[in-house]
Amino acid sequence: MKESKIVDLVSRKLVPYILLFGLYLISYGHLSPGGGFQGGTVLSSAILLLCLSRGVEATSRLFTSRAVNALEIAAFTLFLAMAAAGMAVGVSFLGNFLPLGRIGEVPSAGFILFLNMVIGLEVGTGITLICFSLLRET
Amino acid sequence: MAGAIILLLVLVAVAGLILTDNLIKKVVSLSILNSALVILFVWAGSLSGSEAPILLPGVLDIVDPLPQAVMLTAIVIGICLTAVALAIVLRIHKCYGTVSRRRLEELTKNDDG
Amino acid sequence: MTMAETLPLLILLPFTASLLCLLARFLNRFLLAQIVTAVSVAASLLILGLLLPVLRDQGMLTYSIGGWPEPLGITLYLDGLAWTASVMGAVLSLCALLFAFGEGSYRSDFYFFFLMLLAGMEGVILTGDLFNMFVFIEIVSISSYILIAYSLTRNSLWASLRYLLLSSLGIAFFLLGLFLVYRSTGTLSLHLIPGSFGLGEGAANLPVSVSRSLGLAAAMLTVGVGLKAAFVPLHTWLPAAHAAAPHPVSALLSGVMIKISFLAVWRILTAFGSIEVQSLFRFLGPFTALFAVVLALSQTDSKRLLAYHSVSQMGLIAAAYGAASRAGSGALVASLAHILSHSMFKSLLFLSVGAVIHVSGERDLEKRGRSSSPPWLLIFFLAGAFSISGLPPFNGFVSKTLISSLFKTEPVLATALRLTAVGTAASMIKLSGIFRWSGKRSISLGSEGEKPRLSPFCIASLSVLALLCLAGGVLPRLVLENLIVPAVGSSKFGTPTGSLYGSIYTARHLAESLAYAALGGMLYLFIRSPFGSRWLRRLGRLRLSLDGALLLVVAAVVMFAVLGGYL
Repeated sequence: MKESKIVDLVSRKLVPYILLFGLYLISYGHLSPGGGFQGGTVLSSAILLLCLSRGVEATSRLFTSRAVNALEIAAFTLFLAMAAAGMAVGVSFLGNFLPLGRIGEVPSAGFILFLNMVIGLEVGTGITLICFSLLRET
Repeated sequence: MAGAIILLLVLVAVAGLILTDNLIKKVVSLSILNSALVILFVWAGSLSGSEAPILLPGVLDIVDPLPQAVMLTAIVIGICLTAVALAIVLRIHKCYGTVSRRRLEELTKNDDG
Repeated sequence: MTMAETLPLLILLPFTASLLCLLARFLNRFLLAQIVTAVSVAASLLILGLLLPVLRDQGMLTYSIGGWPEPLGITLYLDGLAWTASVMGAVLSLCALLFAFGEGSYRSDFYFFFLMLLAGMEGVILTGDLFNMFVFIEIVSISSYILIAYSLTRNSLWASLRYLLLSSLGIAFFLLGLFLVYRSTGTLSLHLIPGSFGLGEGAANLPVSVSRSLGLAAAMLTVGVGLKAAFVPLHTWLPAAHAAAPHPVSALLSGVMIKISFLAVWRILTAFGSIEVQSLFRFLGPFTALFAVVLALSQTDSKRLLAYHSVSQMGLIAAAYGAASRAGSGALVASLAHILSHSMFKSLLFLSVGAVIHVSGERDLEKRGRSSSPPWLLIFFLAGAFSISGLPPFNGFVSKTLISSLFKTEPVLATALRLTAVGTAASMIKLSGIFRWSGKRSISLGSEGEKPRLSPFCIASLSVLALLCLAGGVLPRLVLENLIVPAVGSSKFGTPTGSLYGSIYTARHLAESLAYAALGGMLYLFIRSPFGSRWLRRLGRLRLSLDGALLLVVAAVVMFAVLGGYL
């Protein structure tokens, strides 16, 4: 892919803010439009922007395949652990067992916030891996 | 009005799926079909209330949240499907050198198994 | 922990095991993946075994996920039918897994998708919510697209893509049907649909528009799920896909997945009370069976021939299910019996043919050569072939007798079924050509030195399946009375009444099955003659284009809607 200085510069400046926005969507998902999956795709779109402007090789030196893979497995494990923890504590499979706070505050609604974060990581890393493998030139 | 547009989208997507020759266009048609169904559900859900389904103080008349939650899952599944389809199309291109349906069926006419 | 709480475990265990397979792939420890998969399948079998006495007591187990009760949440239901289907799935996946261990050329990601497939199928069986069924169907679909394309050969990629496009179109119709259901009844839960508008007492008290849209929804949902059950005209993806897949995957898909999809159709049509759609299967079933057998006879690739037979036998199962709309739930016993028999003998056939292909490297039936397969493999193949042809003492004889006795009053349909039996026998004789010895040198079988040996895992898997086929035939009453009749009776279809099956091993039935086999032999000689083989060759060259197949799916929706009387 031919490099363009403008695209390269702007995308390098934008990526941290896109990542931040993705994290915002994930953590406010239970209070305003957003959520785990939505924030996760925004996270991966930041990495995808880097891929498109600099190429997969350069991006995967920053976000290594191995680290992204490990993060995905960790997120999947955490999700299954949370789901099963509901059963162990005695509520139900995928039952909400963390304390529900007040409506409107960030740490409320029990474990939905936690699940959102885990799903956000899972989706973000998953779509990143998909893009890495589809965009490799070889 | 919205119903007519959604119907048009579904018809365009199904027609695209059946009538186009390029495999990537078929995958795109699938994606359009998914989006059309999502819009259908969300629109039909929005007919029964007036506010977004977020319970803040003072919000009383919310639309039906179930179709929206259901469609979120459907969008995720659609993305997975598109990713798998594109990966297979990519490999087909590597193997056969073409992504045209007509050409592929000629090439595989005498294949078996 | 009460027994009902093990229901989510049946789905959670394969998912956890698949996670461990991902870990194994990350750490490059292949043995971990194999061990984890075996443990997961064994644990599922164990749990199902422990659930049996509880199920006998209580009749049905339910579990609400997240603690949310029915209209709001998703509930898992384990009734007799679900239990039987789960056990069938677990046993067959164990055999397919053993065979995969024996073949030895699969990496960790194969086991990951294998477990995802199992988890998804378990979910389809257990769930009571239509949208949850959609999610699990998609999990099954995506895993099977990848498993079919696993060997990354030209054929498997194209077969997988065709399957993907067709299946996605079908699932889109499923979602449309879901939309109609939600709009009409306000619920997505299968068990609440009959009650929500008093459908139990007949749909007379429903406004016409609502009953129409519910009927249309039933037609669309049936096509959506039925596409994976592969009856005509929704069968076009199956021959290429099951022929190109790796052998254990072919066995699992043909043996379990298409049956589970059909059982989902059962549940949907029962919930909607759609007798009209159900009685459509009375005609569609025999037509599918005959049509697919004729096409099967013309195939030259061994696995493709078997795949067409899967379609044909699904036609028989659908025919019996359709007959239940007139004959009552006794016909469902025949259908479920054939579901169980077919899963056993079709997996046996696929795996034994797979073993031969693995050892001799040749899968084309036209090429005669000195096949280097051990002769005792023929015994396993014969067990499967006798079963599918309906010969005693195997389980195919039992279930085919049950099915053909349902159509005694309908000469046209009965003739179609008889012709199917003749064609099946003939094509099994044709298929046995893959074992044939002849004096000629083999044509490019590769190096003369190293011939792959058949691993004991493969042999174990084949033996288990052959024994199960034999057991089903020798002890029919045991299977029927303890397994099938309670399963049908406990799942809201109504308890089968009366004597459903006279004696199965009567002289008349035995004579009939032998006669069909003999006629099959004559048919085989006919197609070996120059005249017959020329027509057969022409038939074998017929191919349906992808666009035609997609059009057939749309046509199927229209057909179901119109013939069911809803449009």
